[in-house]
Amino acid sequence: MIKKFLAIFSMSIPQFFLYEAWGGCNRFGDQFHFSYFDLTLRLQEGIHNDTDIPIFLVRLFHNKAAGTLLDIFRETIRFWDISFLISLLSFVGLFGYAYGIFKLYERKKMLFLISAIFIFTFQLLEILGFLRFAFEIKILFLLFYFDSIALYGLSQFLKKNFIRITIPLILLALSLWWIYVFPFNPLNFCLK
Amino acid sequence: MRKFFQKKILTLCIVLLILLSGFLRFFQLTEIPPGLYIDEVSIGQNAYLILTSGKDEHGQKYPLWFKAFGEYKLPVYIYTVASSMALFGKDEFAVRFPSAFAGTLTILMVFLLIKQLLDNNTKISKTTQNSSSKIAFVSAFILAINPWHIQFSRGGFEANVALFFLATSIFLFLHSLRGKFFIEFLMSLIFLVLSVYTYQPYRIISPGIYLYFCFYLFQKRKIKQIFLGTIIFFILFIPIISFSLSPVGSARFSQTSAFEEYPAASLQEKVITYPMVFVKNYFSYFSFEFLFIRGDGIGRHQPPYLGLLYHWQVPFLILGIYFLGKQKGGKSFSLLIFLLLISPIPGSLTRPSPHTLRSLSLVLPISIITGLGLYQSFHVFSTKLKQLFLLILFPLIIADFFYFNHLYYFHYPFVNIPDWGGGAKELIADISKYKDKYDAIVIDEKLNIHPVYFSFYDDSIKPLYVTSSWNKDEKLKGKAVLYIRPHYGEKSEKIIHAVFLKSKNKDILAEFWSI
Repeated sequence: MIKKFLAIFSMSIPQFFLYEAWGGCNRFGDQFHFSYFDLTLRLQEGIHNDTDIPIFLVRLFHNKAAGTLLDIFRETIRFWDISFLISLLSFVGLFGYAYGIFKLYERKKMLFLISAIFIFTFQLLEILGFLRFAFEIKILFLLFYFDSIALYGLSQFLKKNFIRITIPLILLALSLWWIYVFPFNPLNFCLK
Repeated sequence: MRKFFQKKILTLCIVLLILLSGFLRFFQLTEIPPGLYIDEVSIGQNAYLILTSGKDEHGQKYPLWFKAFGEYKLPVYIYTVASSMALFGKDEFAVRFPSAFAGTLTILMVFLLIKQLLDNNTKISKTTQNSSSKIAFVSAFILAINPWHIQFSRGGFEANVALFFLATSIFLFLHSLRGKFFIEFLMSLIFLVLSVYTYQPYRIISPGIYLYFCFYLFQKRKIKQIFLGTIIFFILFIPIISFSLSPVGSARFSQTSAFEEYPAASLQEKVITYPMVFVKNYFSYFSFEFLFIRGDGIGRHQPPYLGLLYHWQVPFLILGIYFLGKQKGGKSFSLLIFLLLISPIPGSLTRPSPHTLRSLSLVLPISIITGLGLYQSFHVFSTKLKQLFLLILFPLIIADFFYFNHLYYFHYPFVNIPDWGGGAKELIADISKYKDKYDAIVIDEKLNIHPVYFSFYDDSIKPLYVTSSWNKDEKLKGKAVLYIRPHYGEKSEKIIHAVFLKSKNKDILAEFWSI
């Protein structure tokens, strides 16, 4: 009971400040979305530099199929970038999430697989621009996924052990300190 | 018999890997990157002067710190280039050779280091220990083809040579635990100290690694060795400590300090703000944007639109961390984690952050962890799945590898010319053809060709630097002047020559005016 209380307490305070900041956003930033126009411009620039090279090699290295896959891959890993996750979860939440994913994989593989399919599908649909509903709902989906695993991770990590209690508390202090010095500017990741 | 053949095959594979590494680091070394950048030229010029006169460009005899542009370069790389120039002469190859050579040897050191690390570790699983050579080979292979390491092996970067010294030091330390302890431990210390005198960030990394060594030896109750080693390390470290604390030594840190961007009026503000600035910078080194998408954005550090690592490494890096966490016991793995955690510290104290050069030592633990992740995940599968795994993975590795090399060899030399001297060599070569016909050479400072380029490529040219609004004045009246300036679109009969960049657009770098 105390473990769960500590886990919720550690997560909720920084999450309150961060969610408030995210509330000012309208949509995710362009770095999270696939743009056919940007891809075309980049390919044109690449092809322009490939003079005196056999055309099949130019097409091999600069084509829309490979470019699309590469762009989608990059936009996907941006959703997993540490700065984005810190802005969403804070340090304590990120730690809880990392530990939670580790434990979930060890003990509940089916749940791990389902949650992985959920999040990657969500990200892919967002990247391709298919999720046409309110940003607040998108953020809630993301937070539901990350926070539930983070809470699970923290409750698994917390034990009657000085170090196991101190670490999340230190991370909580660090999270609040961080929010104080660098008030979260969501414009790095979203548009108003 | 079987073991004999396995050993022969392994040796052959390592030799082929070293040859591949050497090829990737030496092929067209003087052409790509396209020209020497200003630090390389400064290193080259100082090395040449040391070789020929024993003095640096400021007249100091065999200095320990090279004043150069006021940033006081560390000595090891410059003396290494001097030796290289004794063999190859004063040219770009000699300036870059030590870095390329050290980069090639680092692959061998990494192989030996990992093999030793796994062989020493009796608490890990038997399967892992028996596969030490294979894991070591996979990790060394990943480093051999790694874009981050190749980029800095192909320029005159002190960081790359320091990385080689660090890898050698760690290998010798690990080897000393099983063999002739004190001699190898002493050599390990020497290489560790050499890294400190090669590149600035190792003033933090190397003592950190030494503390790890001490901690490890303390747990083995080797107190006498710690005591002796510390005395030797400290004695060798004294010059750099006293230099770092001097006004000149600390000036460099002030120029690049990360905290300068966050002015704090009081001590209280500094105490509150600066640690978070450090934390922000520190975590930026583990950002996927930095590692896999665009690096640090500095043109000299990676080709455009490319990160520092290959895309296929993402899952294996994560799996590698997972497998490291699963391995029970084994303080030797903690060395990897320690190196991973300590490597971003120097870069986190400076700006800009993240910075690929200052955190180059990260490439070692990342390559090793990726190799571990790749090897272990391969062995989790059944035979059929293994074939499918290889069928998907190999084309990805090859595609990524060739994509990097295509961008590096066919785009980078033309797109990133301004980052590598901006055509200075070609400009000076053309000036050399005209210099004898003129009494004075005047150069527009907007061309950004630092005097050290002239010292390196043609010492007989002593240009006068002027602003863009210059007109021939009284001092040069009656003299034939060669005026070199950027192309401003004017047409004139006085233009006698144009120097073109090697870019695809054939942009004009400069015009020669005869006045």
